[in-house]
Amino acid sequence: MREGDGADAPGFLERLRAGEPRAFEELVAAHQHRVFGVALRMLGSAAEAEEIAQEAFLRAHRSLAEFRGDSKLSTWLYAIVSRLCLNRLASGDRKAVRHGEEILLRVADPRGGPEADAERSELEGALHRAIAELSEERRVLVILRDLEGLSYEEIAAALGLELGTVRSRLHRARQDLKDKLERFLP
Amino acid sequence: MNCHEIRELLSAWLDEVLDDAERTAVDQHLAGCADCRRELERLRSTVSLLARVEPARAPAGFVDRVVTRAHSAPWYVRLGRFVFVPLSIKLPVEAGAMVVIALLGVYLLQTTPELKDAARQDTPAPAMRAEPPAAPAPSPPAPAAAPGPAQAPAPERDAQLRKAVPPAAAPDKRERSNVAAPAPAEQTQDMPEKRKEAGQEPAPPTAPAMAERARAAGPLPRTAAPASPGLREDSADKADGDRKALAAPPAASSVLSAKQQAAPPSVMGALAVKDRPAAERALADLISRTGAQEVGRRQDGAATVVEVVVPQAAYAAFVKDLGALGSLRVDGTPAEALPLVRLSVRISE
Repeated sequence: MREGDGADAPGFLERLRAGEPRAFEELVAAHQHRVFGVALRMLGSAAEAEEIAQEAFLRAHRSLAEFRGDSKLSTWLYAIVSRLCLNRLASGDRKAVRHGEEILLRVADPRGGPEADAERSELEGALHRAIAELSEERRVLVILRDLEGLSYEEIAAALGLELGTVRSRLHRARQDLKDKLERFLP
Repeated sequence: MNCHEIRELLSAWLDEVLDDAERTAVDQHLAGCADCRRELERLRSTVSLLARVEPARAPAGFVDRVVTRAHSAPWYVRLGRFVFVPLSIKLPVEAGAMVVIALLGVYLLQTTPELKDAARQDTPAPAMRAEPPAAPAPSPPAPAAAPGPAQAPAPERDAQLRKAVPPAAAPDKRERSNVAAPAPAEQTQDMPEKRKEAGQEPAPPTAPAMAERARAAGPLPRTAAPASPGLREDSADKADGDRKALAAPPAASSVLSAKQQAAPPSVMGALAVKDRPAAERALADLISRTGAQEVGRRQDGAATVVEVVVPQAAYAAFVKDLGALGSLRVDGTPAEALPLVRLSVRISE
């Protein structure tokens, strides 16, 4: 079970729709890291990621009445934040961000010793750099599928894509990553 | 399917999203193709590496910031507050400032004309100053300008005047002042009216009230000017000074200021008579009768030039009687603002 799935407990959606402040706070608390993580890996800037993540929750708050409950709340939030990120990336008015480098600083795991940290940092650096170098269309698929664990159907619904498109794009993305991460493969 | 087609399905094969036919086809191909099996393992390792990516964490306070923004008022309400809420502070301040400015403007409008009036009435000020000290006590009536009624005892005359002059007659001072030759009786009515006002008031009028009264009287000095000397003098005298003032009005020269003494004659009169000495005597009699004052005399060849100061109120009568002495030609008009008229009479045969 992924983080935040408990937010879909029975009655929670009703509380949200009723405008209960505490329910929305619980929703944000349950999904904040996942929504922020998608934004961070898509945009590469922590500040920009928080801005987009906040906007995603605010839009969700304003659109709770329109949420039909056909999908999980988490999938709905993923859809919102993913589209916001793609729109932001497509807008062209965002600040220049050196993809990968900033993400390394943000997501570095503080646990472990210096050697383990160095080794982990090398792999994670390569991973984040490889993800960041993917095209936006492929990157969002890798993030939603391999990092966040969404199903093909959820991804297709979130991004408004056909299942075949999700499958082919995801395969292309993984192929790119395989080539970029060649030295870490057995 | 060839290797290329099979490898297109390997990612989906890993995720177990292939349908049965595709999965069977891939399984059969992998069983006989080592390269594709190796490619599948590399792809599986890549996906496994992705799973090692540490999940990102939202910054501290993220939830509070989102909740705060979500529960804050909508943008149009915030815009309204931004636009109008400051006005709730500004408006009272600005309204107060406007009220203060308006009050200041009204105050200036009220005070400035008064200052202007005071400046204009600088010259006849003695007439205005005469009232306040006379207020507590009955003010004397007009002086010699009303010789007839002035002979009567003051109390009786006051009673008559109170009966003759209605209270509403007081504001008519301006109108009467415009009369070219006011009758002596009218002049006496003015002053008792003022005296009555002063006597009826339990306390002396305040300075603003006096100023207002003086302003309302307008050209009061022209009409009441002869009274002002008496008022000023008698205000310092005893109570019976009223009667004395009525019986013997003060000479016009007693109120002449140095400025007025030094002022050139405003009216030049040329009187041609048959008998100059007789005319001079008649002039002296006229001077004493009208309350005027001879302030100078000189000989100019065969003519005698007499400088006379005549009360403004008695000026018309003075000129009229002077014209009866001979052939009179008057040049110039008396200054209306002055209570006294300085007249130069040239008597020649």
